[in-house]
Amino acid sequence: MAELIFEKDFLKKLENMAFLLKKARAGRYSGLHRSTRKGQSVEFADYRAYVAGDDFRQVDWNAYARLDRLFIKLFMEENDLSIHLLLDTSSSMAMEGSSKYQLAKQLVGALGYLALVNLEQVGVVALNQGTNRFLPLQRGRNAISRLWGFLSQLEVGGETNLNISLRQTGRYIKGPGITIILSDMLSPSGFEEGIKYLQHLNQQVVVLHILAPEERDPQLLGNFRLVDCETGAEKEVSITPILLKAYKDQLETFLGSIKQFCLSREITYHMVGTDDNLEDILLRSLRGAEVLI
Amino acid sequence: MQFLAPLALVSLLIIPVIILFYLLKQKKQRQTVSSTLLWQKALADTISQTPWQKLRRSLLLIIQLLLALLLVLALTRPFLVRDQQAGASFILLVDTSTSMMTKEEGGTRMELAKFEAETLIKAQSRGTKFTLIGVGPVPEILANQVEQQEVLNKLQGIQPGYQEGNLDNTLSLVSALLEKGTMASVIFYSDGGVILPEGPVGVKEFQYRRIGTREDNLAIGAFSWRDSSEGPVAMTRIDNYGAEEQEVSVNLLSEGKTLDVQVLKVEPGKPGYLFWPVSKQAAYLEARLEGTDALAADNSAWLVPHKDDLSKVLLVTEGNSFLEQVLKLNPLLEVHKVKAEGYPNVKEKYDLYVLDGFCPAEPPGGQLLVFNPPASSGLIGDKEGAVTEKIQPVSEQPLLDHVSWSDVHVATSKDVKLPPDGQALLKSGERTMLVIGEVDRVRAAVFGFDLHQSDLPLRAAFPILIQNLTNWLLPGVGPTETQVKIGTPWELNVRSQVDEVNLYQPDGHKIPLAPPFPITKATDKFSPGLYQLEQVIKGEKELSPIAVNYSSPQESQIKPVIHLMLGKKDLNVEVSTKVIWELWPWLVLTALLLLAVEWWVYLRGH
Repeated sequence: MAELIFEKDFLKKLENMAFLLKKARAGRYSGLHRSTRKGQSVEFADYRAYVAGDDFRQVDWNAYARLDRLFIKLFMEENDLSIHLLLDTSSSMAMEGSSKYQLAKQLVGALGYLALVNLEQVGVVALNQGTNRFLPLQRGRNAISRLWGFLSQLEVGGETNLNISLRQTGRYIKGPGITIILSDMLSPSGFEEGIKYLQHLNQQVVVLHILAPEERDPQLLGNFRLVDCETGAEKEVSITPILLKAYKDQLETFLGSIKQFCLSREITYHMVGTDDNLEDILLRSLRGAEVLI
Repeated sequence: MQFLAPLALVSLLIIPVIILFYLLKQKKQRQTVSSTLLWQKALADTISQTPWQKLRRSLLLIIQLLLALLLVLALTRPFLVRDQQAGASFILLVDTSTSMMTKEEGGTRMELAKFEAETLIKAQSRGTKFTLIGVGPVPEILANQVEQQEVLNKLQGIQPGYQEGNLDNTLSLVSALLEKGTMASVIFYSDGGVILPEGPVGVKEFQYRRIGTREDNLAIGAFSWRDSSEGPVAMTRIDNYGAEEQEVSVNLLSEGKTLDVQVLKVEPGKPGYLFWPVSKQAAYLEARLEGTDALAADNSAWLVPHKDDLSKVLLVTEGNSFLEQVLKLNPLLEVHKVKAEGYPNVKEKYDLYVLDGFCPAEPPGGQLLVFNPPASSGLIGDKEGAVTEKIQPVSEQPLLDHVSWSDVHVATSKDVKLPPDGQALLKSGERTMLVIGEVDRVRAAVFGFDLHQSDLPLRAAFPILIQNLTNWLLPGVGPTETQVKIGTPWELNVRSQVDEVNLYQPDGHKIPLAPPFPITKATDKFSPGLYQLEQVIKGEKELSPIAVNYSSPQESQIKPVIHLMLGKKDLNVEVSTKVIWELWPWLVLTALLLLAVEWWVYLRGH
């Protein structure tokens, strides 16, 4: 669990931040987020007529005295937020020589910490085709160690099928909230349907696309037998400058299609590289991407 | 199973090389990637995009195009024609006669012959020995059993001359060479216009390479001069050796100036004649054919008219009508007669002294023709008496040409002493009857008998003999001095008192001939033209022109001989050892090598 040990200064800086909720999505517990739901709180919002079953402690007796009618006082309620962190644990994330999984796990640990100290509810789902592992919603500082412990016990392996994995994740999401996907998005069957399903579950989806430098700009030239680390499929290629250029063109097309999809669905998309600094990502990049405030 | 070219099996070495390349291919580096998804798309992108794409400059493309080109070329089975000779030794005979100067398309016949010979020489393997012989009137060995480079150098030096080719002589030489045990192919480069052997020839591997195709040629066959009732006339005969009638314009020139031009039509195979009235004063004449026939060597001829200056002859005799008459027959002689007692009063100098039964105490200072000299002259021995044995003339002596001695009889004769360098022309047993010789550049002919004691003056032989002798005794008299035909022997007669003799060639180049005397310098390497003979007598120079002409019907007949008959053997030009040389194996070999290069370039990833 050594990789999840953050410096105190970093954690302190992190505690000054919070998740940005673009649309009001309330949880069941009071938290630091202002909910559009009206209920028990200190900030008055409106009245409504009393109906049988209402908590009569909410009846405005002053209004009853003046108007002889029962009204219930409605307040702006400050609610907590459920945040789901979806971590891709397929083989491609932990390819030999690549630190994508390491970065993703640290991001999940840090974001989970931030959420728990802000009294948010945090759940973690390890995305893996057919065998998702799930950490149920946790709350409070006491859950930090449980969260980090869960992360340290995760194992990577298997193929990626984001559409299936994201649909399965829907089982664990009970209410509205923020869902952050940390993945390299290299899913041969695609990911669009899975994300659409999450949005259908009233989730504000954030995609943190993690890519290694060797994926963005491969330094290969010559004859190679390329082995897919997930499927084991082999492809013999003679990598020439022409082929390299074609690869980069394909990568641009791939990234462009993800960005286009996210933009059209009001999904926050942010690409992070494994060569980026973790502190920079959390304290600057994610703030710039309006994931954190 | 046999192979025509078993060495080609060496090409099988290409197979392990190709296998090696495949082995190299299997050693591709293993590289794990997060996903091959994008690589597959990129590959599909590069392999099959749109049907057309911008042509990229690629070494592989160039090599593959070259490869295809070579293979297609190989399928067309190209070939070269070249000489294929089995012999390890060659005797190359190159005709150096005049007809090899004939202009053909692409050069003279000599140049074409050299090119063919050069091609054959270069086609042979190293170590092959070559003998090169120039076929002229006498064969000339230019190189004997030498290597390729040396024979090529010698070949370049061969030039045709004004001479006839004699294959008979050459083949005798070749037979002698082959008798030494040399196995050689004999190849004769010629147009066939040569003297051929009549009998069988002992040269087995003989091949005739015909050179040239043209046959149009006009030649000046004769250019002569004679006196007629209307004055001197020059005659020009023009021979047409071609197959078509020719119209030719003939120029008559003298000392560089054109005197007249006549046009003449000459039928094929026949001569045409032109007559020109000329002046006796002309130093020399030149007839020149205009036009561009194939052979230029026989298009000009020169003529030096006879001179009017007569040679003075003093006849010292007590009376000899035979001699008087025979000397007067020669129009170029001015004959004076004196008796022996009157001789001491003679002050004038004569070119020739004819002494009949007389001999002065002192040499008279001119040429001498002596008959029956007295004993006091010291010219005769003591063997005087009746001639009983048959008169025997010396053979092959030009002075005795056309002189028949069969019906000549001599009653008595003295024995003439033979001077140093002298020559006995007539003998009867041990007795010498006629001697010629030269002492201190004074020529003399001495008869040992009195003409009255012989029937020689009554025979036809007498005027001929006297004419021959006077021609020899008096240089400058007679046509042999001024008209020279290349290829026939001639003698350069000079005046007796001459101190220096030079010959100027037509281009002005001076050839010193004498001293020393007698003149022995070979002058048979003439080319046609007008020469000037310079004789210096006591500081005074005397120039006399000599017309040197070349005329040979054998060489002017330039039509190449197709069937060269060597004995009974017909050496048709079609019988040749030329073979076709297919190039496809070389092309395929090159293609295989190129294929290996292509693989190498491919594996290098450009």
